This record gives sequence, C-alpha cells and structure tokens, in this order.
Amino acid sequence: MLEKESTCSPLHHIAGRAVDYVVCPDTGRWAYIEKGALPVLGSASSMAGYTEIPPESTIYRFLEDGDLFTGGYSHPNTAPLDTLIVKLTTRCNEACVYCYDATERRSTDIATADASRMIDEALKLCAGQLTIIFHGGEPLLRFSDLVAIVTDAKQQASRTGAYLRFAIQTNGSIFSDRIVEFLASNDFDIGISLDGPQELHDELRLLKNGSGSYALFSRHLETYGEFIRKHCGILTTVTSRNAKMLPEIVRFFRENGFVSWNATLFDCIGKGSKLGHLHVATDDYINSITAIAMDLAAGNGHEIAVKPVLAYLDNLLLDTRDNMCFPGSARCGAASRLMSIDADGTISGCDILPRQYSLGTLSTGLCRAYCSIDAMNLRTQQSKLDQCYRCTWLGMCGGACMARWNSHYPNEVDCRASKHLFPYFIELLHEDNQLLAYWERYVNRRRANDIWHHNIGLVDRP
Amino acid sequence: MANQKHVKIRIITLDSDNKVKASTLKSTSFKSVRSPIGTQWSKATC
Repeated sequence: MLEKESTCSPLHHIAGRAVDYVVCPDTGRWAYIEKGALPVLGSASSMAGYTEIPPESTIYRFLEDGDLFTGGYSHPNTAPLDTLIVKLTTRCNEACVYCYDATERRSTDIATADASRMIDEALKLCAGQLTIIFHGGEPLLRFSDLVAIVTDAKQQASRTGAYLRFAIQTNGSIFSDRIVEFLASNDFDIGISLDGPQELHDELRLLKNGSGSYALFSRHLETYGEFIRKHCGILTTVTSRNAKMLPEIVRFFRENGFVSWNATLFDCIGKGSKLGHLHVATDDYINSITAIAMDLAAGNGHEIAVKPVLAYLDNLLLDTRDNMCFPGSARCGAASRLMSIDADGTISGCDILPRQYSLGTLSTGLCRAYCSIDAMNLRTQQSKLDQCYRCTWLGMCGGACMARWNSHYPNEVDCRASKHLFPYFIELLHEDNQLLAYWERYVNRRRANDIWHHNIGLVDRP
Repeated sequence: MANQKHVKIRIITLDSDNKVKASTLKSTSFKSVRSPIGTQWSKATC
C-alpha cells in the first residue's frame, strides 16, 4: 500500500545555471522557482550548494497538496520479496578479464533440486508475484537444468497461485533453436552483455584462448537476429576503457536495430578486484551520459530506450520515485525485495554485496536467511548510510548502494554522477527540446502486463 | 487496467502582491507506469 509521508525537512533551493529550483530531499518532489522569489519564501540558511527553505514556508502547501506534482506519496521503505537471483553455475564459456563473479575457487554448479527448493521457499516468502533471474557464470551452459528448474517453478507457482516472471543475463554466445524457443515461450526478460562494437567489446571480453568473444555473438545475431533485436536488451559494463565512448556505443546498437540499452558500472570484485585501472572516472561517465541526453533532446536516436537516461527522467517526472538500482521501492532492495543464491549455495541479500554480508547457505534455507537478524540488520543499515545524510537528492535516487560504498569501491561513481545528473536533467527539461517527448515515448510502453501494479497496488491510485 | 497519469512540470512564481503561485510549465499524460521489478533485465522496450 502507498504510504502518506509528511514532509518536515527544509526544502533545498538551488540556483542553477539557467534556472532556479526547489527540491524536497525527503520525497524528491521539486519545482522550478522564479528567480527573486527566494527572499519572499523566507530562506533559512545557505549551505554548500543550496539554501534551505523552512517547513513553515508557503511553498510547502504546493508540495503537500500535490499542486506541484500529482503525488504526495512515495513507496514504502520495506516491501516483500519479489525478486530472486539464482546463479546456476560459476562456469562460463568466456573469460572476461574483469568478471565480477569469477573467483579462484573451483567451478561450481548449484544442484537442480537445491535451486528448485530455494525457489519454492521464495514463493512462500513473496506476496503473490516473483521474478526469478537466472545468472552465472553463463546460465545457458545449463540449459537442460534451466528447463527443469523453470518447469518445476511453474508447477510450484500454480499450486500457490503466485505469478512468476523469468529473466536471464547471458553473454549471447550459445543460442540455439531450442533455447530461443524456450526463452520466447516462457516470456523471459533477456539481457545480453555486450560492451560495445567488436573492437571495444573484444578488449576485455575474451574467450579462454585469448581471442575476443564478439564473433560468437555475431554468429548468433545472423541466425536469430529478429529474436535478439526484439526480445533482448543490451547491458554494457562501463570501464575506464569504454566510459568515454558510451554515445558511440549507444549509436552502434541503435543503428544495428537494438531497442534497449543499459549500463552497469565495473565492480572491483571477483577478477575485477585486481584491476583497479578499469575503474571509471566519474567525469567520463557523466560526460557520456550528458552527451547522450543532449542528442536525445535534439530529437536524435529516439528508437532506442537508453535506460540510464530514462531512469533519471522517471525519478524526476513520476511521483513514485524508484531506487535507481532496483525500481519498485524507494530504497535498496537488498534482503527485502531481493535475495540471491550463489552457485555454491551462499545466500545473500544482493549478488554484489561482499561475502561477509552473506545470510546463510543452502542448509540454512532461504526463509530462515531472509528472516535472520543479519538480514534485518542489512535492511536497517540501508536507511542509515552516512553518505546520504542531508543529501538534496536522496528522495530522488533512493540512497547509496551498500555494496558500492564498501571498501572495495573507493570511488562511488553512481552517487557522484547522480548528484551531477539530476540537476543537469532538471535544467535540460526546462529548455525547449525533445527530451520530454522521448520520455513520453517509453513511459507509455512500460510493462504491457499491468498485473504487477494491479496486484501490488504499489503504483496506481484512483 | 492502467490509470491515466498526469505529469506537470511546474514553476513557482510570485504575483504582484508577492503571493506564491504555481504555473504549469510543461505537462504530459500517459496510461502506464514503470514496473516495480527489474532493471537491466526488464523487457527490452520498458
């Protein structure tokens, strides 16, 4: 259910480059404000980068009444489990140099029966709907086991009446007629990991013989091009090698007929823990995203959904402001909406959290791990991240990533980028350009299947 | 099943009596909203 939130913190008034605006840090609601209006509103004190407007100001009436936006509501901070990551194997037919999932340990597969048992427990924990994300290693290396697990999960769900969705992250190198038919018939959400055109992709995504892996994907694209372009989204890992090239990468995928592109930042874990030089410079990432946004604002390239841009626009324009990493709730979903099972049976609240945060093993079971003191501590910790204290943009971004604020991540790019890009997009929306039209094009297409909204009651209100 | 949603981008101004008022700078409406699930794994057109 939606919760009414009271706004009691001061608003932040920010003098932008071309326009001023006010932001409510609690809810993320904001509005442009006429220059010169600030003294009338009764500013309290100037802080670094903003001026505080006290709660007794007239402007609060506009925010509370929903006069500035349709809202006045936000997501609850906690929500039941609705997503389970199942890592079927640590094995992979590729050998990407920075793989966050690869370790020195021997290859491991989770037993089919154990995976099914975890899903069975997840179905008991969820509130009527569950997305199962198959991950690896390369999950399609275990295609016949995947079929068995999905078949069993559907039977379990039919007994409990739960609604199941399936997703998979693959390197796109081992499609076959059977695989394509299975993924399509089970309506899988499919992400393919590609880091750009062949020359960029092949720098870091290698086969075990040291050659680039793009040719493997290309071969499948020739055979299954229509399926891949229609059903699959591209996920690019951003490293120091391609961070400056994101506009070209988006253009490449768009010109090759893909309809969705997303980015994930390089994580210094797994094999990546020894590759600090691949860490992304924040300015490179920001400059790339702003260049993409400017191109879209100019009316170019609207044929592809650039998800990082759409995520910022969603959180600026929708009254339900999602966590930037895990849409659907205001805060990080780790150990609340999300649980993850490693191929070795380790249970955690999120697959990129360091292993000291693990919540149990297969013998613990998912239900006990989810209800453990450690899991509750993890959920509590999320709302107490010092980095977010008094941040203007907390209501919009949903808070820092616990994993990426760990010592493994000395430079939190997501956070710094958000602090730059939210103001950037506010200014860009003020201009006379095509950015709002671009957002309209995709917001109208979100999830034809509204069963999620209908069942959860999270989003739609009369 | 989706409700019509409205987005108004507003600007706060002062009238001649220095009273605060809000005007619509840009607006749009749409029928659906984002899914509460998934990020990179959600449907290609999401």
